[in-house]
Amino acid sequence: MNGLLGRAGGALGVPLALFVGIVVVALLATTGPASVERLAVGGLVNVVLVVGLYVFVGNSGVWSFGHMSFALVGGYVAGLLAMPVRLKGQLLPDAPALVRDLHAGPFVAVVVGGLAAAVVAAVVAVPLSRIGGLSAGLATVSLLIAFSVVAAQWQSVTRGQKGLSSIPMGTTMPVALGWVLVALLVAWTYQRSSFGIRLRASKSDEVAAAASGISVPVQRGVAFVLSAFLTGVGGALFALQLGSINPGVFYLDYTFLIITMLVLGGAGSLTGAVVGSVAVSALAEVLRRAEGGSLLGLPVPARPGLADVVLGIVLVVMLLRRPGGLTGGRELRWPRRHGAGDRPPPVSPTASEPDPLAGVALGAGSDSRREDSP
Amino acid sequence: MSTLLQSLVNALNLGGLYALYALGMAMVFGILRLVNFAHSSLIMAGGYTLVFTAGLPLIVRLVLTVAVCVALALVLELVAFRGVRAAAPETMLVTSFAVSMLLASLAESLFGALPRSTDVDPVFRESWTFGQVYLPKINVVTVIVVAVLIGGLGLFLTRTPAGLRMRAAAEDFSTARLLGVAADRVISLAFAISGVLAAAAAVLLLGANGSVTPTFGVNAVLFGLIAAVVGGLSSLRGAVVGGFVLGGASQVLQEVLPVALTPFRDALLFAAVFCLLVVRPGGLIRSGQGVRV
Repeated sequence: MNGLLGRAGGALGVPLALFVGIVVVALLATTGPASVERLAVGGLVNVVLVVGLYVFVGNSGVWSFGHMSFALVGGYVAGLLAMPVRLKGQLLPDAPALVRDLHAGPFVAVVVGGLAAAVVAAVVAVPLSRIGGLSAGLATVSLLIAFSVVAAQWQSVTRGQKGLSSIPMGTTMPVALGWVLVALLVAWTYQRSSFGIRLRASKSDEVAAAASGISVPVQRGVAFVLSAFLTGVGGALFALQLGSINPGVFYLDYTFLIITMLVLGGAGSLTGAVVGSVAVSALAEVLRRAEGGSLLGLPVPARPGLADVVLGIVLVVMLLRRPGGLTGGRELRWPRRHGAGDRPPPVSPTASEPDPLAGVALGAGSDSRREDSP
Repeated sequence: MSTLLQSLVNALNLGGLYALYALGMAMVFGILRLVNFAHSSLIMAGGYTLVFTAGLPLIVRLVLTVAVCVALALVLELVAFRGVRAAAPETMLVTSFAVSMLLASLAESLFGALPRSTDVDPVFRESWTFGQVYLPKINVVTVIVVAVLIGGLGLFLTRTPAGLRMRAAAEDFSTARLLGVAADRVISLAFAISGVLAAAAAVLLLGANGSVTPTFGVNAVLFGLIAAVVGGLSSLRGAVVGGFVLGGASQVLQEVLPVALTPFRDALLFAAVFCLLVVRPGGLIRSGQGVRV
């Protein structure tokens, strides 16, 4: 029994350690005033969203700028489900009966929100997973615009620009922490599964992976749907935390924030996703408090948007100086004091990056890039 | 007949604007493989320049707008994009995204989030009426400006040594460098031209809207990007074609869709773009065929 637990601990060591770190930060926040606790819950929701995006981007190497459409789907579905039937009768008299009469508790609403996002993603993934690189990224941009327009115009169900309000607030600290744990475990399990490893192989070298019998579209599609599920859950948690949502929320600004977190932490590893989201949340909070006050003894002028300016500068400098992010795409690793026999050898795909073969593949990739870019 | 003419005018106007945005982005993309979201910052900077020079004669304002846009484009290239040149296109895209958001927040903290309004020229608010056809003068100005810029750019690329170097660089950057094309100079030139195009976009947009916000130009660039993608990002001809296709499709949908569905016009449009990208990831005009710059 002990051995089994130990092995589970070894296999899930990284997500559990990351989770402990997040819990510590979150508990620190709860010692502060209520407003800080609310922000901390918002930060946890962002962790779910970043991990959701990471599952696709980090494993496939294809960027998606349209993941907020899944958060939008999750948020609206969960919000509509969680709203009391009587309230919906008043706010959305023209909505289809199905939307008006169905009601669910917060937990079910979040799960259904995630599933709805996954279903949408499954439909989108069929064509999308056939293309890669920049075209895929730009296709997701047009997807985001399309979803945003629908949310803004479908008056009878989404109330258009006014958005949904009076959604019962169900995202408390324990709930958010629970979903963070789920997201971490799902992301890690997927990444270490044969599916994750095959997708990562296609990220290193698409042609070689295809030649080894990996169906790149299938693998990308699986990651896309899984990632959309987590993103949908994140959007649902967001809706149930804030109590009101509108189409503008799930658009470019939020997309940028989530991408900033992922890039800053390092898009290549789960550790990077978590480190990035916690670091950016903390930095944004520090900057917001410093606004109009002082930071490290230096006076800071009170200017709206200044926090975002600093955040932007940090991101640009980071991209220029450390394109791999804070973690450089590496997972958390602890010094191995016990013999190697205690724990299964590290088979995590990122841990094998120093491997000479991977180096060759990487080198070839950057060479071919250099051909058409200076 | 008159409604058809009216639609045609609208489509031409919309298409011209999209083509203008798309050209600015395709200019940079052709050489650097950089999707320049920060193009919106150039348009925004141009807009604020027009606002803050409200008292000066129009010609001075226009010259200043072009100067500011070109200068900002060159600075951005030097500070932000030179460092990530060798990176993957996705990394560059994220960088340009970051730069555009950074400059938008900077504008917000400097000038406030509220719209700043200005009057570019009274001509922009007037219009001609021929029977039932309603023709705002700004539409005519837009079409003429876009035509002149496209024509000028075409002449520049085909008839001047600098244009030849740009085309060579767009075709095959490393070979062009081996043959003595100065990389930095060509890239700076591409950014400068995109600055001029952004300035023109700023004037036309502001002439139509009348006010500037920190996110001025973001939607324009989004549409321009999609237009450029539709046409084929790495070809200038593609950018122009894509702009007019998008403008035309948008107008056709507006006319054809039942009233209940017209609010969803853009959703359908972008869903169609998504499908197009899946079928032809390279856009309508394949790169390597047309003039790639």
